[in-house]
Amino acid sequence: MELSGEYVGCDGEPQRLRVSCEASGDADPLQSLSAGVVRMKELVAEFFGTLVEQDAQGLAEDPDDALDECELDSTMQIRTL
Amino acid sequence: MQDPSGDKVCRAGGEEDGEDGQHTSRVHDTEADPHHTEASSHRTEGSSHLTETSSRPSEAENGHDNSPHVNRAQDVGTQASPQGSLNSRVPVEARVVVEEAAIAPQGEQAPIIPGPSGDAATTAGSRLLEFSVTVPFRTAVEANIACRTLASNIQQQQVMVQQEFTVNDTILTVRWTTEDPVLFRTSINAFLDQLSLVVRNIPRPVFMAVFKQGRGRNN
Repeated sequence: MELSGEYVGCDGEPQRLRVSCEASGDADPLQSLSAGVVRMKELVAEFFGTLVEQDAQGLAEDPDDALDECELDSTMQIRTL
Repeated sequence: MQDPSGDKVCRAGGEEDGEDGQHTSRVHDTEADPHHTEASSHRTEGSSHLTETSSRPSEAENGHDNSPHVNRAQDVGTQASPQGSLNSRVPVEARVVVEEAAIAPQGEQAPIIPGPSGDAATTAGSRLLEFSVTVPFRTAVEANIACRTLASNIQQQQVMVQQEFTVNDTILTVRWTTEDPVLFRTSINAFLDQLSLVVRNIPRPVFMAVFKQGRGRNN
């Protein structure tokens, strides 16, 4: 048994997260699965934490986008007036 | 001046009529003799035509039945030539039409290729993020129970993030689609918390069944 996750971003390339849920000896398979879910949760938190940070840095470092946002804001203000 | 043209017409008719035609042409020759000097040149022309006429009747008199057929064949050939030219022209026109027809679609196709729809689709596709989780269960029953339980609990979050639950035999697959990675993290964490609870609750029916069987044996 394997608990797996797959992420497909803007570039279209899949990234996989895998957790093995093999039962050892007389252990209950569902208990192994439960432990696998906990482990998967940790991997997801780590993975998306990094992803969110990269996304935030990308927005901060892109001056063109910032300028575009400023223009949009000024346009909205003019329309409001 | 009209007389010479009339004579020519009569001679042509004479040729077509055959024996009667021959006699008619001779009569015209006799009538032409008293004309003036100007008529003599016409007589010369007439004599040349007469020569041709005399040669053809001689062939007919000799019993060459093929001569009329030959003439008809020549006539058919003559008639066929303009038809042939028409036939040759029609394919050319058809080719031109075909070429024009071929060119038009190309012209029409050109603006479609770099159209905004393609760009829009590409842009829309690149913005969407997708995450899926595959969970293996021991039996299809367990997979279905988990699916129904999780789907009912998480329906409220579908407003922000699109979620799709699928069960294939003993495998449960859940797919999220959104543009914001932060929403991904929130939704997936909630799902995994619920999944953990569901998995822990599944063994209870098995335990109760074993317990009941044990009681039955004791009684």
